Amino acid sequence: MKEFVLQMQNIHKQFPGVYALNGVHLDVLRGEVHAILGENGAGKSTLIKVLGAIYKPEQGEIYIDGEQVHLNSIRDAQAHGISIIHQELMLVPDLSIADNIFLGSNPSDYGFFSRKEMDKKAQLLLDNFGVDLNSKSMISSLSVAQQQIVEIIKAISVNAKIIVMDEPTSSLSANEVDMLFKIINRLKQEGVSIIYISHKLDELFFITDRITVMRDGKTIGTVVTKNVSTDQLIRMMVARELSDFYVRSEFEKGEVVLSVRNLSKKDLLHDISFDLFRGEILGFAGLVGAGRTDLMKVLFGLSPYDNGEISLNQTQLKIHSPEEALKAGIALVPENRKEEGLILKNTVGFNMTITVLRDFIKGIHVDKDKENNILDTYKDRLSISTPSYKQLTANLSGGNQQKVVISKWLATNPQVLLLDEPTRGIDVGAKAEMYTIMNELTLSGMSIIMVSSEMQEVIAMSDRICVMGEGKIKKIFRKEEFSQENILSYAIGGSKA
Amino acid sequence: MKKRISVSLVLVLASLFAVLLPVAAEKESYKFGFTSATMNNPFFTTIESTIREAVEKNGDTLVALDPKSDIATQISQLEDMINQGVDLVFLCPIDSEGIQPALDMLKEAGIPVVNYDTDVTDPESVETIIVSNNEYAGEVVGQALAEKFPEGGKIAILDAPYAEACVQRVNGFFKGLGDLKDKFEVVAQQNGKGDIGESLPIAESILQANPDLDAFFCINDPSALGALSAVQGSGLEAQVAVYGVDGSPDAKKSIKEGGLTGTGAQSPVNIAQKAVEAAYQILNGDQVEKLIKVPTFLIDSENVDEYGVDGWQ
Amino acid sequence: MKEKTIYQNHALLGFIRKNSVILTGLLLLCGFLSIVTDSFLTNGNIMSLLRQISTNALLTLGMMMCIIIGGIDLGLGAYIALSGTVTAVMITNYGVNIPVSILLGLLSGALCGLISGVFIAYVKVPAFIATMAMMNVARGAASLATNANPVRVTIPAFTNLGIGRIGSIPLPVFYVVFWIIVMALFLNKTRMGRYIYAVGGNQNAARYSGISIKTVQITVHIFSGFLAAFAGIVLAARMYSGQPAVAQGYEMDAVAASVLGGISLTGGSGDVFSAMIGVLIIGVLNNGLNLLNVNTFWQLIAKGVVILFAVSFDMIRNRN
Repeated sequence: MKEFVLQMQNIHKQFPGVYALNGVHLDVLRGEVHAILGENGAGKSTLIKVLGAIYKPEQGEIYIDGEQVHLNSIRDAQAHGISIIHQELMLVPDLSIADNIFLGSNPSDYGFFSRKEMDKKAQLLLDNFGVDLNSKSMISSLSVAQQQIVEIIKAISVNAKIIVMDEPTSSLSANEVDMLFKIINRLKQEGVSIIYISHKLDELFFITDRITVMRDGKTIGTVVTKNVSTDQLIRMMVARELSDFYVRSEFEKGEVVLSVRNLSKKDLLHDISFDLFRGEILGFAGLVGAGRTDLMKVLFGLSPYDNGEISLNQTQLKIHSPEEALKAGIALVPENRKEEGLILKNTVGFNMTITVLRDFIKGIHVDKDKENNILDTYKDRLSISTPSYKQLTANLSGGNQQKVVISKWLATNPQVLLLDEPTRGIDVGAKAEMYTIMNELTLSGMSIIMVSSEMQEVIAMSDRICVMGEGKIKKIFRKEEFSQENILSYAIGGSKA
Repeated sequence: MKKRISVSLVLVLASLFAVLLPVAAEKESYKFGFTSATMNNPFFTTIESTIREAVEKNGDTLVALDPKSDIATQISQLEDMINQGVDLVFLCPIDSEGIQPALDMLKEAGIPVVNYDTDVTDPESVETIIVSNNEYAGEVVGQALAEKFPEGGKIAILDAPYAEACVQRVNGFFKGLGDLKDKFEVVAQQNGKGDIGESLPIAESILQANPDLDAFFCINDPSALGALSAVQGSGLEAQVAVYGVDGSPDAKKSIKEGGLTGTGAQSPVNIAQKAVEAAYQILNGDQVEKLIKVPTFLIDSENVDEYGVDGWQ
Repeated sequence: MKEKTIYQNHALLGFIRKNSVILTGLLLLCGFLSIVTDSFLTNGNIMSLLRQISTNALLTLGMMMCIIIGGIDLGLGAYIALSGTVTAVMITNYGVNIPVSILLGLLSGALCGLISGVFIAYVKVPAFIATMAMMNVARGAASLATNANPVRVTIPAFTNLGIGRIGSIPLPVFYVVFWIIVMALFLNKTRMGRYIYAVGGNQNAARYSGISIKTVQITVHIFSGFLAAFAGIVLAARMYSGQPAVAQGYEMDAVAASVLGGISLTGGSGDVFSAMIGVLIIGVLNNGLNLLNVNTFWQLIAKGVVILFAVSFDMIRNRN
């Protein structure tokens, strides 16, 4: 029988009004990759913060190598071999790889600081992992994936036994994910345990040994990955059957609403041309950095373009600001809801109406009835669940926040809705609702452009798909041509078109 | 959590005031108010401590507030003194005319005012004015300079144009130069803000631009000490004379060591004593003179020992 | 109708709950002062207290807006000096009639606000730097216009604006009440008011929402400059003179009052009435320490300690 490197037993953690962890158990074997899976708000990140000694639990025991430990500080946790790699990387950009790896732990036994020695040791570590990097390179010159690898190596250099990876692949390309998985396998062989947090089920099936599912602050169960199916996992996560996940009605081609011709922007967009039809969902697929978000920003007036034409209903538009775009009938639901979509420290009602104040505020007269009318309309239409409109937006769940974001721009009654990664970071249940909403919107005559990096989502929801790469539209697929291979080959494979 | 915060706030505030709370004043004694331009100047703190010592010896109390050179603050603080029921106010206005609203209020409240140092514009609003004539303090320096350089020369002035008293000192200085006035060339006149730190770099650049300078006139001693550092830093101490105004202990020490050339001395101790004397006369219902002059005089290397270097004269 | 009163009660209760810490502090301070001094609770003292805080109240109204949009205006003290001297110079040196002189004084402050606003909005100079620069410009201009000497204005029609009373209540108190109402309406009932909170809460999100950040920033700085100028003219009337050296560092009292009033320095939140409690605390503290005859230097320490504690509470509350 294999030994447990980590056991967390009966962990309780309460926040004002929220029972974040209610008797959670987690057992991790030596040298295994162990996933924690759950909807947003299930308690995954709280559990990790307890492990990293960022939070102190009210109750519960933690055993490392069978011995009970009390983690009082982040340093304590590190001393016990726990290392957490956050989504936001914690490297110093203007120092070299070697500097970062040994930051805070001098490599020399005698306290002397020999740069040569340090560079050499760091290089050895890099080479050991088959990473083709020079230890003297600056962090700022590395890609996100490379930086992540440096973080991992840094963790190993201080003899980490347990490495927690929080959504490690969220900003990696396919090749980089491969590289990461190779390193994870290598760590496994050396007896290091990995706690892996991710929403991406296909990754979990590929890399993990066991999966612990959490829901509402409780452990639902731990399963061996190879004995379980997607359906089973989803059922454990959401406690309900997911009959119709992707909802998309038949779409009949009508007139052209938005037409883009030869749009170019220096270094970012090259000769972009496409049409969007009434009631259509036009998917935009491609890798990170392919130019999809840049295109959305141009269409919404957030950044200028050099050449080309944009017309709406046969009328040519000149858009210089979001204000003008909204007036013309184009709305963008941005990719990053916390940074660009919401004012988290203000109320739900404030956020939902900020785009349409003109409709109910004249001078110093606020038409309360009209305001409530708008709020109620979109609350019902998107089934936003909030105790009141005065609730702070920060206190809503990810899915509800995303609905607030959508309602905000929906309220402007756009003809064209640009959705940039509309389901990023929201849980399975909320995703399903989002698809239903999109479908209903198009049925009522709205046209949607959906930028998404989730292949299944793009294929299931779109009526046509534009694949972008290097700032160009590589190919526009009709529904009958959709397939993962087709899309990927155009997204990655240069200019077949 | 909130409750605990409130409780700790109470404790903090309560203990703060317990520490700061002075002994409550007895009723038969007098309560005096004191306001100067700023308590950041030893000249005024000497006046304040001398007055305090004298009134406390009589079993009376002194309320001293610091307007920090802001006329609006000074007016507000005088209001507070009125509300507090002071019997008499010692006052040096930051601005001679701007103080008028406060003087009107004091009059309305029937509180007599002993005006010292800088005089107010409307003498009818105060009982008496103890002037240590700022103009004359500048004048004695002007005379000394004219005596030292009968052929005239190049001079630089470090002034502080916001303060009335300092403007008077400069006026007095030119008056003191007398007939030789036209023989002196003012090569620079800059705002040294009456501060040693502000004056040093200004004096340095003046010396850079005018290596043949003969003398600095500075409107107070801190400013003069700043200029002196610049002169010594440039190795020009044999050539450039440096004069200040105040007669502070620091300045006197410097004169004795052969640093400063001289200072137009005022006597804060005498001003304070005269002010206290007048105050008790007023409260006893006695007549006091409208204008009480406290002499100003030049202190230089010849007479510095007469006044001692340890304190104010 | 009934529903409305319930709603209003809720609003009042909510306000008290939100400001419980600082209100407790204020009440304790007042209670303590009325017990240990005979003079604190007199009509005369209350009136002069209210008049004393009128300047800081007007500055704080402007400062809080700047803080809400995530900035600051360090020039406010200098705009007081500038508007006061501009008005005084116009009346005394150029014989311009009083209403026009006052208008020019107000414009001088608004213009300073406009200039810093333009640099903040278009050139993206940080508010801290832009307004600090304008502070120097305004102070320099005030001194140049007056030769660094105070300029007297003794026309009663002007000075009465500062020293006049209705009943026993000083006129500046009425001005403050007026501007508090205007500001409350502006922030809560107008589009621009909500835009201000949006820009401060999340500038990016505000931009995506179709709000012109530049317009908001410039409007806020013009308005706060205008309010400082208004305060400067009232102060000049009260001092019978335009004083180029007056009000140095007053902007910091406004920052302190805003922070005491729970206006978060990270922007996006805060309301007029809470800020005014902050103004009251600073005012009562100054007045009370004076009445108590506390040594000047201890007063500085006491003020510093209170501000530090208040901000710490804010931080702790935010963390929870």
